[in-house]
Amino acid sequence: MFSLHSRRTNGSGMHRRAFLEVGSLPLMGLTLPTLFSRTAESQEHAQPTKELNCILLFTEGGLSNIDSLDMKPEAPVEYRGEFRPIATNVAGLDICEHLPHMAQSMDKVCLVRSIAHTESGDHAAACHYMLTGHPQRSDPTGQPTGSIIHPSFGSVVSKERGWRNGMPPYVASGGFVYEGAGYLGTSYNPLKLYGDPNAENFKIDNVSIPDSIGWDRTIRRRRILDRLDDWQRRVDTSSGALLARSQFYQQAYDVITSPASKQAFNIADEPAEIRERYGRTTEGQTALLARRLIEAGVRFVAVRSGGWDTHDNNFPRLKDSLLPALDKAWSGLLLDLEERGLMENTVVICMGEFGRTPRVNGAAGRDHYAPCNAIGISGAGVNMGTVIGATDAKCERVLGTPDSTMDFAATVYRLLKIDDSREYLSNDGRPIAINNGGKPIAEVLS
Amino acid sequence: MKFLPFFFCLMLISAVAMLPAATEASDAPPDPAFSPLQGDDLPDANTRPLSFVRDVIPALTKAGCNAGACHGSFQGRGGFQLSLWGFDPPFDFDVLVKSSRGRRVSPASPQRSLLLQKGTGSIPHGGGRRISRESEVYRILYEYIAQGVSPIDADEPALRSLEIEPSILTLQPSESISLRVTAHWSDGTKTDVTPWASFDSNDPSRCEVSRTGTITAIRAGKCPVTVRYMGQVTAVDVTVPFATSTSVSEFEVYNFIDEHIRAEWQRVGLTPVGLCSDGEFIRRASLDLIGTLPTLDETRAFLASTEPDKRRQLIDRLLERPEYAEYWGLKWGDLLRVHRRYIGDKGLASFSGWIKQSLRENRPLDQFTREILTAQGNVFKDGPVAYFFIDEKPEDLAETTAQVFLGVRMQCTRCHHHPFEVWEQDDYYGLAAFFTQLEIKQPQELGNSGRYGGTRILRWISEPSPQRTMKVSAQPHVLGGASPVPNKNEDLRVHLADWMTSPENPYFSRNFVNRYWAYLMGRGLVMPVDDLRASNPASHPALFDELARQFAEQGFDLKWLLRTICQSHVYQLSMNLNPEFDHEGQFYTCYLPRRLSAEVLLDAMNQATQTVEIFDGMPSGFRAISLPDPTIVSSFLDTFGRPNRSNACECARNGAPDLAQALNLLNGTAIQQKVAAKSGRLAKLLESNRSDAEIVEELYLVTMSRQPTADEERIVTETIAEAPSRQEAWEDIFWSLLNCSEFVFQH
Repeated sequence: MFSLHSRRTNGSGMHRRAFLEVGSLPLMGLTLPTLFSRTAESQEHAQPTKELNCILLFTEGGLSNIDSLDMKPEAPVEYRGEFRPIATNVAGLDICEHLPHMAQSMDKVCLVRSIAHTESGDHAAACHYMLTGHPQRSDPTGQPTGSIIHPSFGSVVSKERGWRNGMPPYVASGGFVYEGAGYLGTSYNPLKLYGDPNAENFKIDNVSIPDSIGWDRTIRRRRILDRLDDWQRRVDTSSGALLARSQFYQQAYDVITSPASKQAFNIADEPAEIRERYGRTTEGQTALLARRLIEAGVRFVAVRSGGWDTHDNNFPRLKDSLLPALDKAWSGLLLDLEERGLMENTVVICMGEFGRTPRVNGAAGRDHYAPCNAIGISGAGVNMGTVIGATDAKCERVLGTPDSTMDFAATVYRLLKIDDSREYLSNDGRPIAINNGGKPIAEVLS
Repeated sequence: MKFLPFFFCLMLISAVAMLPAATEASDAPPDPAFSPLQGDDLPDANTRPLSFVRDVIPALTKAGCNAGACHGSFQGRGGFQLSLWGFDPPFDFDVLVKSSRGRRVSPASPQRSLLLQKGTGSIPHGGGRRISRESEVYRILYEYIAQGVSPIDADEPALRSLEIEPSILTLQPSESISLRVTAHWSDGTKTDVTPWASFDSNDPSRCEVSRTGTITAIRAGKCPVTVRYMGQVTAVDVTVPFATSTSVSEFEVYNFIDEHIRAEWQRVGLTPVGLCSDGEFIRRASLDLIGTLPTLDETRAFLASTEPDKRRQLIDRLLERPEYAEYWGLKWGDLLRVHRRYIGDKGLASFSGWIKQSLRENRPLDQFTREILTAQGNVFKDGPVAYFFIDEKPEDLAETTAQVFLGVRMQCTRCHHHPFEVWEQDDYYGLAAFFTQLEIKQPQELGNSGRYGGTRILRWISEPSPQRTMKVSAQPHVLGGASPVPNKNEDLRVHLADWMTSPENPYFSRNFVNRYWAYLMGRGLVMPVDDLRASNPASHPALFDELARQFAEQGFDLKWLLRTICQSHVYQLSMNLNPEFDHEGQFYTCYLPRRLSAEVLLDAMNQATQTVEIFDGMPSGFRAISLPDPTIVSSFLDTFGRPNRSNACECARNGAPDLAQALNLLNGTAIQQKVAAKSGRLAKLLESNRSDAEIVEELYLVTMSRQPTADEERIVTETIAEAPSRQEAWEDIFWSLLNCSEFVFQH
């Protein structure tokens, strides 16, 4: 199999990178030069910022902020709900009684209550708002469908930083409504993990070698393919798509067979007490897997915690499963990262696509509510143990001027040391800035 | 389309409006922003009063003041905003002269004008020093101010056209030539405006162009240079030959396409590869024309046939196959964004059924277009009327109509003058105005409501609908043309359809010729495929013109177009993995491999392995190319880049390989299940008493459409000998064949 890094010049002696920049592939919308220059750049200029990581803990469906991180015990009962606040290890900050572990970890969190947007309808559009900063039109088909779909934070990290240690830059648990690369193209999509790390025989579709094939046969097949795929042996630098394909095959084999990858995915290796600390739930063990992946070389891991769309039966659902699982996964992750010294170079963000209506609805549930939200940010460069912004007495609106999703995105990019004035070319060739006028929220930054 | 805020367009402008360096090579013509000018064609400030439009704006443009990255930005810079590249002189006059209270221009003491002080950098200026005091730009601005800032004269001659000499040129690497730009004015006069024009190289790695119009060739290939002056844009065709001689004598001309392509090879010194094999041809033509691999029997028969015109016969047969309408229905579905999110399940069935029926009947493209553009009726029943439910706002309909049917991207002009084109905002809203007299109603008798629930009816109405009020009001008129004279109650869209589908329309025929050419050849004569404009010239202008003219003369017969391209020798050239020259395929010296599209690849895998796909709600064995829209769940199709039909751009379909695809093919369980399926091809072959040689032959025929080579047979034999079992060996071999680039790529 042809390896991208094994040769630096083509037949005519032209530097590979120079060639790739000029040798664009003549297909509609195909931009291989950009695809390769990313790898080339990240190999050539090692920078200290390269080692920054990010773990996103995403409460998809919309965490009920008033029942968890922004409680209003003085509000009328139809607002404040059933739960009581408890004190935390940050003076003056109370959170929900069903987050007891987090109550002892709030010194490791910057709690942001100032972010608002306007998409209270559609999950996909709201995810797009929160994970890219940019507006998106709502659409009942459950996908972002505007003519410009922006790349999420992880895809931008992927584009800016590239592969490390044979590991893909961006990995996400399967099932996100939107966590993709948008106009950057599928190359910058996350490697999606379908599989439950909490399961006994944890396997990831397309990544773990299937039992029916096994290790030896996978290696043997690779040898047969190398011999039979005459084209890939013969192809030189000239055909962009074929060259790209061999690069991705190489990467795929790395992901499937590299020791770093095999070790990272072997979550059964982890001591029992650590596994317990994260909680034996899907999100808990996925958060643990995220830490292992970061250690193996992945730069951005998005962990999905589902089921937060509590339009009915809000309180039992939160109390019985959602909040306890989040409590252990989130606190376990923060503690573990701290013990391993990874808080120095890892940013942890716990957020959902919007908050929920402060007034309880007729089905004892709460509905989507974008004007208020509660987001926890931790780790490298974060002013932890603080609360930023405040909502009014009934958690109906942000007091003062809310921070926009563009401001939030600017904050994330600042923490990840990514220049948010960067422009990328859309798939139809227009330069588009990754952020549009957002200003980092100063109080979040340490 | 819906979300195209103006800032995107402006960002584009800021990126292309590269600010020039302040120095020039000594042998280049003088730069008017930094050097005094010589010559007698120049505006003579001493003998005539200077004009704001003809003198000041070109001077500001040359100095870069009104570029997108500077004061031409829609936000302005430093509290000072000019119209982008001076497209709006009254606005600029107002800003510079009227509203600055004499600060920006000061006729009493011109040298104290802020404009000159900032521009020369004598007081701090964020943009640095843009002009020197000795320069022609300075002299013009100074004189204009000193003459008392005369207002815009409405009777001044207008710019009619630009003439560039030479307009076609061939340069050897490192050779230079200076262009001469002549402006033709409405009063019949002409002036040399070379120093005031702006020049851009479309590919600076091939040729560079200086600020004053000197082109220097760098490396072989085609490299158009665009020239812009006062809102007019034109392009110069620059070719840098690869070699001085070429051997095209063995190349047999099959039709007029070959003559044009050959002429270009001779011009640039390139030699084509040989004719593709019969195996390559049947695979290529079948995948291109019906999105389907040839079957085992078809391949065997075609390879065995000795008929001299068997390729021609194959093309004709393929065009009559039922899969033709399915496959091209998929492409048209992408183009027209057919999706139930807009038109509901019944609208989807109605519109996609109408499209496929039109393709089956080979309805002429002008008629097809006319039926869409003038449609009225019920979205659940009346096929093409769905077009007016996929986009509803007049602005969106204008953008989609221009892009899909004319290959013209009007998005930028929603907010400002097109940065690379002649289109103004008025052209945009003039086009959109054709779609204002439409009304959508729920039929009362059905009593239903909601976008997804019930049907809706579109009608032409005699007055603009209050729901369709545009941000900028305009009279309906076609691009660059006059307003139609509306008769009471007459559907104005008929005028639009008349203009669009006329054989004389400069875009319609070219647009579809270019798209279809690109579908078959892997690269448009114009790239990007759906971006036709004067500043983006075709690689083979004469071929482009002739193909477009003949397509119109043939009554916009799509099958004629496909047949004509497929019958050319150029289409039938062999694939070349390692071309020495022409890597980008600009000159069509060989066939460039490209990945099969998602639906075609999935169908090809199923056909090769004799397995079927189960799509939710579809009968077993339903083909992926026949799916009506992308809501039918398939992680394979999503992984391999099927578009979600939210964007009319050809770029919405992602054909690039990526990691998830590689993992899916290398390590996915789905492919293993297909290879080892109990009733699949391999199982049947192994149950039969066929020899290894027979099995390997069949596997190669159904995947690559060719016989295996001796080397391949040897590798297969060795693999069988080394494997733990015969079953496992054959599974591994078949799996490898499906993973070979020769299978995954069209070639």
